[in-house]
Amino acid sequence: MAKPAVIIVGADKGGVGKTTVARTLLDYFTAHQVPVRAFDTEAPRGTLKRFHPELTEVVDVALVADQMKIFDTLNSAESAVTLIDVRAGLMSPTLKALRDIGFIDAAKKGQITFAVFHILGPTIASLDEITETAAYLGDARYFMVKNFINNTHFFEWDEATHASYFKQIKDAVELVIPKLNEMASEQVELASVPYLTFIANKKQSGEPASYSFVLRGYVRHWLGNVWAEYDRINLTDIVVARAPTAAVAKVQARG
Amino acid sequence: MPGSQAHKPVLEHANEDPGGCGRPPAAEKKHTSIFIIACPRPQVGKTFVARLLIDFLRLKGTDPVVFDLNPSGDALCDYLPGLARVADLSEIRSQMVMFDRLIVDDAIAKVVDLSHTSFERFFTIAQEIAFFKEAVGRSIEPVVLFVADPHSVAINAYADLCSRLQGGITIPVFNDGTLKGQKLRKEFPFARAAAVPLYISALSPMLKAQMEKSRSSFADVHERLPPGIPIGLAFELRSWTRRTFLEFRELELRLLLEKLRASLPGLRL
Repeated sequence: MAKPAVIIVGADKGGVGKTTVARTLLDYFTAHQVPVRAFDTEAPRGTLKRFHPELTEVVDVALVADQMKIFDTLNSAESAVTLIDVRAGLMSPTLKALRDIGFIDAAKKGQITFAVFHILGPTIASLDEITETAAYLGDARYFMVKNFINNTHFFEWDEATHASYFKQIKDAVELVIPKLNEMASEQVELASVPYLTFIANKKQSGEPASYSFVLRGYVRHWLGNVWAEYDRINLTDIVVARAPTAAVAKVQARG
Repeated sequence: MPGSQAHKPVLEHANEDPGGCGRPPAAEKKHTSIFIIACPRPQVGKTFVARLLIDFLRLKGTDPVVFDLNPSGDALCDYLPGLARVADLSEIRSQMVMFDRLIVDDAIAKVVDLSHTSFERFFTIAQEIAFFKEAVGRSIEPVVLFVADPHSVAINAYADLCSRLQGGITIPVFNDGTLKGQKLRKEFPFARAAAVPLYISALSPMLKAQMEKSRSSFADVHERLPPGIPIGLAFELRSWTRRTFLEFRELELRLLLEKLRASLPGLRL
């Protein structure tokens, strides 16, 4: 049986494109027939929910009731993947809460696949975020995402400084999200639909739309490049990994 | 990113409504063609070929949609101010104005006069937004009329275009007015029957100057002898125009025949 997978998309800083990355991930799983559900922690009105209303529920991760809603249903939910779009500033508190409820340990034992997409901002503060995050990660798959969608110019990281932060997290992998043309980005925002729906020239209701062919072309090209990054890290293989047998789990638990 | 190729089928399949809403069924539609007159070299006669083609298309009774990508001087807009629209690839709004219009399957022919400076940019954008594939998906026929030139830049660009243009057809045009007898058939090979080169014989400089000066339409010359020039020259002009239009007519027939062959694979045509 495939074990449940939880993906956290977050950053402590706002405006770095967390929801954009979450949207591309939802489109990616949908296109690859991987059942997925999403939680948007931007309560009360989530941005992710606006684009993916059928997959997304808005929650407050600080509330125990909402934590139960997410984590107590991991095994019973029809979705193989649970994606949590963490609001700015809540990344570290969320990871702390996960540790406190024993989630990180469950991931360590191989009962759950746990991946973190840490969206980096352009400042040195992002490197400090890595340090803070590392303390909670356990055996999570950790992806540092450089998101150029907001025309971000990343500082030139000094190699030694960069390495010193980077190596704090075992098997950390860097991902690059290329820039999408501003007008194309703006039109998808206005349309309030998933990227795939925009490319298919449809409204949220499924009715035909009349989006610009040029803009749809740019979005398709960009999304293809973003998904190429997800292919590079074998994302579908990561999230549909099988649960260990009882014997293996026991050995892992002892270890 | 080379890996992005892997997702093309998924992302293309997502394009379920390429034509937008309310399109009539394919059987009811008339045929739409897009002609792109191109060469990465200047002064090869692209605008002249575009003008001839437009006049040929106008003979059928419907004005084509024309985009002029020449930044300045001797541009199509000077000859056809009411018909040709100036286009610009430098910013996205202008790209939308042009490509969103070109891709409409409305049975109206489209002509793009591509300047040598816009050549690379145009085909890069077209490839990025999958313009040619989308056009074919909508049963629109994209045709690149590549005006031949002996320079290696043109020869290499032609070979490159033939290999990278998925969905469109690239046809060499030998314009004897600029080639002046040079034979370039080997340098511009073609593999498809519909891509047989077009030959435009040289128009005497006097007549060419006359046509440029008067801003007359070749379509008018085709119909009746032009006034104001000696009768001998008028006959020569009309004969040349008819010969040239015949090249375009034969091109249309070759394209049509290729379509028929594709739709009736068992039939020998």
